[in-house]
Amino acid sequence: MAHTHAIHASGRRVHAAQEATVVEFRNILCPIDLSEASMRALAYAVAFARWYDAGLTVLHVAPTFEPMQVRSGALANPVHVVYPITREEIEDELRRALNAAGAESVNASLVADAGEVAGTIVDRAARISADLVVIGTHGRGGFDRLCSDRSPRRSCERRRARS
Amino acid sequence: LLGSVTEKVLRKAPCPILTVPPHASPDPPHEVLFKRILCAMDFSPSALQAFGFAVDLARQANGLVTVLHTIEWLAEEEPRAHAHFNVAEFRQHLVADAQERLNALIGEEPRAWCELEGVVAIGRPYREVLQAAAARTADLIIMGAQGRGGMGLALFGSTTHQVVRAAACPVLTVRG
Repeated sequence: MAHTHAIHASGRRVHAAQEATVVEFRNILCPIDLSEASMRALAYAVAFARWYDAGLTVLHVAPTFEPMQVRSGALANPVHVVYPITREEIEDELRRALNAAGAESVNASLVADAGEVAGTIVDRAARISADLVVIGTHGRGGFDRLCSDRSPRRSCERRRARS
Repeated sequence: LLGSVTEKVLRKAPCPILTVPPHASPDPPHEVLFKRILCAMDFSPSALQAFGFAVDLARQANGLVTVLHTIEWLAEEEPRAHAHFNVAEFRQHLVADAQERLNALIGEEPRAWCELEGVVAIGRPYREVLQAAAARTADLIIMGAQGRGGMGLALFGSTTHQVVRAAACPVLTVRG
């Protein structure tokens, strides 16, 4: 049940326009996990940055950049040292993603952080005084499925395999 | 209550959030011009802020803003014999009252070059928002981050949560 009432705003009190909201974005943050869903969000972020002549920060959050000791199987098995993807590798991927999104004319910076994903995104938004965050979602699956099911290295490998 | 990264960011980020679903157009937009915007309105401070965003974005594209208010009224059945009032009549009164509030909100909006439409629906808010957006092939949904629910951020708008998860177009969530 819906009732519709259409009103054209033209010809109304224009002097009050000074009090109206004027949308203007200066600092845009786009956290990506290098998946296709986040690439779509990046395309929107680039478009917004270009349209509003805003700065764009592209952020990737990895669990850690530190080597991890992993023991496979029984306790007697040797401990292996696993080297996660490096900050430089992530920054290279972010650079490639940004180029693929057509961001040549956009004032963009690339950031690779380590930590808990959501908290790190919110912290970064506060640190750069972001006035817009553009984030991709997998719909019913949630963005974190992308982060938990796909390590950054595997996402990077998939992207390389596709290209 | 809320698990995903997007939902945590929606709950905690200090600024508007644009969520882009997988169903969004695969072609990267060259211009930020939204022609058909659906603005969910519950008259909360954040919804009123969202309305300001909707009007300005629509003005830039010479577009249409549909302002949707949903009355969460689930008793659709006919009034029972022991009811002390006429349910259908009361529901009609709620709709008329909401339409009047929407008209007042829209009527106060002074800007030219933007078409505004006030719509009142009855049902679950998130379903009505998604249905209205689909029916109008909206290219953007704008809504407040916090609804009128009393617990605020602790129960970060279940409507917002559901809409962000299921929307076919980008959703801009705005704080009041």
